[in-house]
Amino acid sequence: MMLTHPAFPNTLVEPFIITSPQTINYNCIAWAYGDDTKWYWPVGNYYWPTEIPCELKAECFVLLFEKIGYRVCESSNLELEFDKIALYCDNMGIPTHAARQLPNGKWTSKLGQQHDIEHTIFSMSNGHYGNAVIFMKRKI
Amino acid sequence: MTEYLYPNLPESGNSLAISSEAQFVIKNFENSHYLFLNGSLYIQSVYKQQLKEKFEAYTSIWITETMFSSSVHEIINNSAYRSIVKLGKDVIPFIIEELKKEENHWFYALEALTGQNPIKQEHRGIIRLMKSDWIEWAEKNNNYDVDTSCIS
Repeated sequence: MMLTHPAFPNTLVEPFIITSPQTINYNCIAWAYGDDTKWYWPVGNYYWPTEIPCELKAECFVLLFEKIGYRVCESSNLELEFDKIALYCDNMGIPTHAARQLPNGKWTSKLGQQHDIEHTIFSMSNGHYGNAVIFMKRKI
Repeated sequence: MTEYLYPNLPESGNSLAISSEAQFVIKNFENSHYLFLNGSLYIQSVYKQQLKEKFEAYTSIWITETMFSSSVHEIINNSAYRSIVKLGKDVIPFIIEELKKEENHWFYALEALTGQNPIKQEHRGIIRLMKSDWIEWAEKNNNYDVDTSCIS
């Protein structure tokens, strides 16, 4: 099922594809991390690894993904021997979202408390989450 | 003979002198009014109904505006969510009822309103267990059971 929404204006050109039922069990950070059991966020009652500073800063999210082998890279291009993730930030540089690349070169995201979706970098850009500003990769 | 200077009210802005008898009457009227408001079941039911309607309206706005948010900061700093917290402790039973019906990010509102945080360390981030911790807390503190007898 396709999804277009005013919060993501580029979906008028490239709609999202819904790939799961709605659930609050996990958020986009957890989904990009590979965990569908918890809500990850660096604040109080939510899950955040104790060894990573509990601060709403891009560098803390980079440390989160470095913990499972990712390293910052330059592009979102598909490289078959690598997993990739994309970190989105708003125009103040505050992290808002993460997406994980699929083997077909498209991306999978959890839309907050809603569904998982498949999308392109373009379709999610300039919307509710801002833009993808950091890409990271790890060897498969 | 003593000359009296009467205050020029528009300039001074001071109230007229009130006799002790008038003050007595005013005070008793205020006390009676207060007792009526707090003792009247009808007034209480009107208050609860109005509070419930405000709560539901803000909740609907909050859910719509944060439906795509992964950021807890964004979710709890939403203006409708903040308005719910500003409604005060009387909304706690409504929040608990909402939480029983459906999992949602009510945890910060409950913590702000109760001053408590019953979420166990090992449950952090697991929404259904965070919910259970709060439901368990509400059941132990039975003054937060929802009393809907006055609400039509």
